[in-house]
Amino acid sequence: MKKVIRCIMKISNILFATATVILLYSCSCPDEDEVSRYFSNSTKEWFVDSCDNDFFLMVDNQLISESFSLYNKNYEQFHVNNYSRNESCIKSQVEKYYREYNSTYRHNFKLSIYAYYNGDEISIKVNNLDFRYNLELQKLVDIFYDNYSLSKYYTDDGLEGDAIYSSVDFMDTLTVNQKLYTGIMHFTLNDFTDYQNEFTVNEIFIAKHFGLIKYKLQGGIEYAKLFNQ
Amino acid sequence: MLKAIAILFFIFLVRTNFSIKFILVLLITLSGCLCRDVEQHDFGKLSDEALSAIPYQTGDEFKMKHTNGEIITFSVNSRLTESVTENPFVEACVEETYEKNTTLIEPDYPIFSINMVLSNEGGNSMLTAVLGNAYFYIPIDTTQIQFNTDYTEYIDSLYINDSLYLNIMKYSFTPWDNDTSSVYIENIFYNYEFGLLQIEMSNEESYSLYYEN
Repeated sequence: MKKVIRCIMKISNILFATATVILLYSCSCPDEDEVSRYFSNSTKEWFVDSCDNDFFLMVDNQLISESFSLYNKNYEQFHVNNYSRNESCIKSQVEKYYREYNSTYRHNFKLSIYAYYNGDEISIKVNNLDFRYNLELQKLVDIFYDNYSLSKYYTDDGLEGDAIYSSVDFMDTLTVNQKLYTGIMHFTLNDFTDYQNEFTVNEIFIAKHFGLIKYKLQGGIEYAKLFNQ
Repeated sequence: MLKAIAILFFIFLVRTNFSIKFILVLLITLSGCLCRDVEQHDFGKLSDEALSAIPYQTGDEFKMKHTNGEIITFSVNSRLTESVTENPFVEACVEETYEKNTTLIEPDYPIFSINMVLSNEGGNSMLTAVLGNAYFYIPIDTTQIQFNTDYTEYIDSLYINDSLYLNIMKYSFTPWDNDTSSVYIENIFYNYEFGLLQIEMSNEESYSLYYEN
């Protein structure tokens, strides 16, 4: 009887180990199928590579000024598994560019750019508003405001998920404090209307090579970049 | 007697299973880390003199006028005193009890909030004012003041927005990273009667106490 029990335990151990191996194998991606993604030249134009890279000044419409100092920066290449539109397992090597600035009054600007399998993405955070935009699909992927969020996910047909009413449009030029900028991304917040207050960031303007050049709050305060030179 | 207890304990250890042995050894080892006699230091209550170094009470409001005209209202959201008991050092068998008085002040404009902490931790009363990213240590009585240093200056009287203020202390701040190219809070002017009188920024802008006529 003891022998039978021991035999059953041994078999169950073998079965458990086999199941674990199969499970782990199913979660992994074959290395030989790895896809490398690199920033396109048009995406690289959103890098902050002007002389304002480390430090810039902004002034609001009541003439109160503040400086934004580079707090954190990073460039890295890393591997991502299971990141594909049709849920098939694809291992990809991706690029990430990151800059984070903090201001005199603890305002905050983060810029992250990713070369992902689903297309290059740009992620912008100003204070407590954060959005991610796919530059190739020209669609908003997600928005975060305080503890609220709206997210989409990639499918064969593009993006599905929460309805997002906020918008991103592009402008050829914009003059801010007598400085003409070209290649502007303009974000307008049209979601979370029940949760907004006078200090909610509701418009953001980003310029190629310069990063944040202007943003507005719900209550009417506007911040505009001062050209350093 | 002790020998007998030791022998009995040894037999007990031999006969018990591994997990019980492990727990017993762990308990015996940890007991060596515990303090038999914890030294108690009670620094009592904050003195009235110390508490009067902050003139703000919950519900108070005051206004500050920016150099360029904007008038900002600061509201004292809370001022609370609590008793704190803690071990000041990780490995010491000492427990300190002291009082901490915290004042939180919020502006109606997105600039810095103000957090003032008064405590008698360690036996010495100390007032710390945090304005955004800047920290200032404010002496709570004249014996603590070391004037004419790089950080503290005494001013007999000063006109601010057409009002005369007396017995003013000016405190200076240097950013931790010495990044003087950035815009930061450089000086604060404070007295015990009115609190914050003026806040000077490093870019020539300032905020000064303002009373509407």
